[in-house]
Amino acid sequence: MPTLSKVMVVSSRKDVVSDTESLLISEGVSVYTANRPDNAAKLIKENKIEATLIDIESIKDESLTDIVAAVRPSLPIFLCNASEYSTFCSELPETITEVLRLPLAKPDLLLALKRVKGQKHKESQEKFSFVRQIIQNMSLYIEKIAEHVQGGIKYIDDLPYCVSIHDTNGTILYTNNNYIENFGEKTGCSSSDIYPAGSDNGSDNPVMSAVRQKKIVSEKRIVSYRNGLEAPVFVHAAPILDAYSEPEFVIEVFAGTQELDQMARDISDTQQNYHQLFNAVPSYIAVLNRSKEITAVNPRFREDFGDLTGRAFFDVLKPSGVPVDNDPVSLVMKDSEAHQEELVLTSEDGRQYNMMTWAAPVKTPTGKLLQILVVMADKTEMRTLKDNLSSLGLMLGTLSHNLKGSLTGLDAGLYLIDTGFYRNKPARIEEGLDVSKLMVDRIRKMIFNVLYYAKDRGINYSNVNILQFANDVAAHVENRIRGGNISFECEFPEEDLYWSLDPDLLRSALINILENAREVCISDQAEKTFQIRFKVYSESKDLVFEIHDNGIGMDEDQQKQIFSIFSSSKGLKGTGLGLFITKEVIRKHNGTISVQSEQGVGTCFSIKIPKILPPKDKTRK
Amino acid sequence: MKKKVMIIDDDPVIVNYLETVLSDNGYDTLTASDGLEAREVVDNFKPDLITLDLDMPNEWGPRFYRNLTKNKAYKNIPVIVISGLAGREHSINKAVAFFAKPFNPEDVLKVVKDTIG
Repeated sequence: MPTLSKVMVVSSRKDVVSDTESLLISEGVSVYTANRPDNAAKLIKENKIEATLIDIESIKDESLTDIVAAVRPSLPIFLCNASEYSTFCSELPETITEVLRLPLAKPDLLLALKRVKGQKHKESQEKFSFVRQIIQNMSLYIEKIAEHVQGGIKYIDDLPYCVSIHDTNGTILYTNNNYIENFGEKTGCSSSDIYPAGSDNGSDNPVMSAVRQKKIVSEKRIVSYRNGLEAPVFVHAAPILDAYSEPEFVIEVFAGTQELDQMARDISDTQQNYHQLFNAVPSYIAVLNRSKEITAVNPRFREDFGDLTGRAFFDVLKPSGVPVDNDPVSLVMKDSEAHQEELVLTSEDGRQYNMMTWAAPVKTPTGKLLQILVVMADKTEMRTLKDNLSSLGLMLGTLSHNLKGSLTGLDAGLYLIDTGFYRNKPARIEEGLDVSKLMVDRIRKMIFNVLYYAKDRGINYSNVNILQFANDVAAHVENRIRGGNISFECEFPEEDLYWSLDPDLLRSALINILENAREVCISDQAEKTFQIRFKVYSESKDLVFEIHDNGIGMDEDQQKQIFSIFSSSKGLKGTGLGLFITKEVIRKHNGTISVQSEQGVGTCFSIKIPKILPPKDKTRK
Repeated sequence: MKKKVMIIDDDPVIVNYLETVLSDNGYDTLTASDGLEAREVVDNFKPDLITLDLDMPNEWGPRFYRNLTKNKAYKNIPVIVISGLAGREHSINKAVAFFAKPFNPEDVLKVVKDTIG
């Protein structure tokens, strides 16, 4: 086996050329000759000659450095007469190491050729090692880039790109980790190993195509994975050229097309689904990056808080009531797990929201946290609804209970009338009639209050003549009050007095109090003359209504609770809504209502309605 | 001697109703408008039977009943519950009868007659 395949002999001496040529040919080496180094240079490059034997007799006047440069890229071996050997060697620069004595001895010649081959192999190995380092560093660089490219990371991280280095004989010299993972350990195997038989339509594998064509080859090829799966890939095979512009190595790189296509399709489908869900869900949704900045919001969020993309989440919705970094978003950042918590958040306009907040991680397939999904449900509305439902339940319960009482009272009235006739007791008949009327009144009030509660309406101001209004209110209750053997006195303003108020609402509120006063007096068993006084007057900026009775009165506790919803005191059976609604009516007028009472003496309700602008200049609900 | 029936209810209309029905049928009546007042009346007059409303201020029916039955002298006084509160009949498990308002006075009279004569 020849150590080198091509050698140049440069000498002007025919005997040296002839002797050297014979020795080389006998070793199977192809020999080229020239009489001068500059004549040899072109041949060396054209024929890719590996070593040049230079007779120093032919280059006496030339510098050795120039000679070495002229014969590049072949390696020089100098031939020197034995008598001049020592002198020549002592004058050699350090870079030149190969010198042979003439006449050539075959063993010396072969040894020198061997050393030159070793030197070339070392250079080749160094280049291979260098290329391999580039590939390895490239993988690292790509990984590093991928870490910083948000959004693109899922492509780069998940690309199954396989890189391998091949020699020009089609042998695999090196493969990266992805390659090994997908195809197994293939170093030393043929470049065509991963391509299934028959898949190439008779053409070369991409590596050998690149060697043959001496350029980058890019083509779609079927590869066979270690698990048996065959799939198409896009292969790029790039030759690394030597000094002669000949391929010395080939780098082969590919990523799976099918997987990419499928991944792209899956991502597109998922994106579409999430987009629809995102927009349809009636909760607030925000997507945050790892700096807790908002990167996307759903329409509901945008509607109520604005498009806050780019802003820090907790700058725009300030949390309170939770320790720092213990909120669900921060907890997700810590452990990449989902968390939930009720948060009180204050928006930039100062509004407070009670939000049930869920935060969940969005991760790459390898588990790396990408984004945080925040879903919030406004609990304030739910709480209000719950309160309303509770109130409704309570009201219905109270109504039911009191209605039963009133129906029993109606039974009582009818019993008294019935037995009054049967036993011929006119007083009993009259009592029965009174009781029945009272019960009917109670039931009517209950129904009215329920309807009012169910249909809360805004206030409709009009400019009202107070004298007429007061007389109207009095007329509504007068007959019933006097019929209960109660004295009814009215004190109204003498001159014309006008005031802005809602006459329908206020009339109902005043009748409510007057009828309560009547009922208190009727229910009171004390032996005395009962009296109700209804007084109306103006006092600086207020219109004042006073209703006095000398009935049973209330203790302190009853006075405190009297305006609460569903409160009802002894003898005042109803929905529990009456005085609550009265208070609401007064509140809508921006007015006040107060009560003074003493047990056994009586009660006084005082209502003050302030003077306001005419209705056209003021709207109020 | 007439039997004494005590009527405990905070609604004076119902008290008056029961008083009339019972007195029309030969019973003497005692009344109270809440549990506290009723205790005094029981101490002073010791009724033969009690009709008891449940939902009353100051001391409501079930508490009054518990206190009544703690006293050996009174624990055997029969009690008829007459109430508008739904589902409360079981709060006084030894009541002779439970009537929901509105009630039929004939039914109440029958139970009273069957219990005390």
